[in-house]
Amino acid sequence: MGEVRFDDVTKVFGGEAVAVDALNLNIADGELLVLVGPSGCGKTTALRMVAGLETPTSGSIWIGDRMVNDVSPANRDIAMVFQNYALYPHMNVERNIGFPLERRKVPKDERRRRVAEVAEMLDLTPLLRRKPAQLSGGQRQRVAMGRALSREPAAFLLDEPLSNLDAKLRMELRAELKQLHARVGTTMIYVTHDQVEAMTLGDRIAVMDHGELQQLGRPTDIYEQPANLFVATFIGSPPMNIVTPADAGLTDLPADVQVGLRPEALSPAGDDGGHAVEIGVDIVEPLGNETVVHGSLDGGGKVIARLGPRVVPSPGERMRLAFDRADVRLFDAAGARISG
Amino acid sequence: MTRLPFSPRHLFLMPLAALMLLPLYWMVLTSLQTLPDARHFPPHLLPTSITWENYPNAWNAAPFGRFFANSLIVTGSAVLGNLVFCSLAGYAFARLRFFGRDVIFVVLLATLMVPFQVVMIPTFLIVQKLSLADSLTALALPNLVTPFGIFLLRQFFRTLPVELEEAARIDGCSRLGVLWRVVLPLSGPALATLAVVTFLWTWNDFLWPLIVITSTDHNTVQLGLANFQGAHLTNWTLLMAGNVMSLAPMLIVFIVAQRFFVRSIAASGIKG
Repeated sequence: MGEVRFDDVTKVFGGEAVAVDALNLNIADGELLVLVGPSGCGKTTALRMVAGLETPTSGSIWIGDRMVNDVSPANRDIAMVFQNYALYPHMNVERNIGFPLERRKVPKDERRRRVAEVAEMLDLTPLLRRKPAQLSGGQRQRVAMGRALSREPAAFLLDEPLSNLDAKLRMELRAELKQLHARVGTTMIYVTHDQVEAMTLGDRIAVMDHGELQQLGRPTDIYEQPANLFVATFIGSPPMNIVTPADAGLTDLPADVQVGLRPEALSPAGDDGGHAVEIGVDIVEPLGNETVVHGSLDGGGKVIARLGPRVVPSPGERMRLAFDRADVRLFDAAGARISG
Repeated sequence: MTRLPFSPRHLFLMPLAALMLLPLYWMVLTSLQTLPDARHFPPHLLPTSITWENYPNAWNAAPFGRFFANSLIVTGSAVLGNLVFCSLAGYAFARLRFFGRDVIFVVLLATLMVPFQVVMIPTFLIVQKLSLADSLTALALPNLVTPFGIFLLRQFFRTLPVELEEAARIDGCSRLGVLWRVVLPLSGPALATLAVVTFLWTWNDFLWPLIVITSTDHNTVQLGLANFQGAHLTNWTLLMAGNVMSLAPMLIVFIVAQRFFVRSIAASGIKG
């Protein structure tokens, strides 16, 4: 089965650089798990260890009920899509897609049938005779997916597969990918630094930073209940505002607590009553469907608010932004989440 | 083929090209003259009469058919050997991680700086100990792999995107499979270069065959040509006719390989 498990996996490069630090992670069969984090957080290294392209320094990696630490990449029953697609330039699309089958001695007829099926699924049928150089970025991405799909592996590993595409294409392919996953139902591990991709694609999201797993959970849980300051500010765009209790007028809280407020939790308020932060407006970004306002607190902190499209303050204006006490997330001085 | 537009640089380049072609022209010219005409002083820059008889005469002056066959066998083995062994070694140096890899590579590079004259006596002694003296094997064996070839291919292999090889490994290739199915098909220009260089070097080699070969049966073309050059008299017309014939295989190899130089890896499967 396509379950993937990290069991206390650590990877140290060159004896000192810790890329992945004691990672424990269980990816269920058929799940689409997104590994997300800033560059250098260890997400790609983690993925490459599943692929067998890196060896864990300690700990073990399991695919299904098999410990695969010493299994070659070819024998792990996985398929990988690379950021730059890594299509074989000297082979046409048909051979690229069929290559994993060819190497596994699948009979020619069966191979042709599988390739045709995958090509059909990915709208590649008219392009089968082309070489990768004759394809657009989106088409190459599809071929790379096709090569991974042709073999029906236990798990797909995707390393930032959409990051080389322009925004529009990325959105289209993101949706396609989600449909594809629903259709084939194979375990997928998807690495990205893009939190929007993480939120939209993942059954669950694993947020990593500095080689450590920061939080694992469903997208909405991660967004609503971030485990720490890092997750709170990494997931969500614009990021969560972090202000002092004094700035937020929450005088009942200890002074060293950090107060987190999502930009959409703020709304224009009257002069009195309720909880509110007061800002001087710096930048106004009217986006059509909403207005994003960047402002400064008197204490020096910055606040970003997502307001309705008709609220268009001018820079320099003072604004009172109200919030609901229930939307406040509190973190201690070290950044760990505290209830309240 | 598109013609380049004329540019002022050509005024400079064309005389240089003519200068390069002059010895070739002189060789062909001499090979088409009678000996007295060829030795005429001052020399005729344009032929006064043309004769083809030097070619059959040179060919029949010694068993040149045999010599050509010998040269082709030795050169062919050297080209094949270099393509195979330098690919393997170059790939290991480029991609495999093993203890002492970089040190060994530096030592290998250092041997590039040792002139042949320094190693020819030891090499001869080894060949003699192996009872290979005066054999075609002795001509080919020391040339089957060269540090230059390893260096050339290693450098080229390192320019290929490593993701291609990782993808191939995941798709089910062994290390050798990766080399054979992905790396080498993309290395046409480098392999063609190595083939041509090895061919020219081995085909033209004179010193090593001179040392190792004693019997006429095992002569190479270059040794055979030297017979026309005596201590007292050199038969220039026959020598030049022989040279022209000896040049033909090199021209053919170059023309064939040229197609691979041009058809580089412009066709890439990486994003871009």
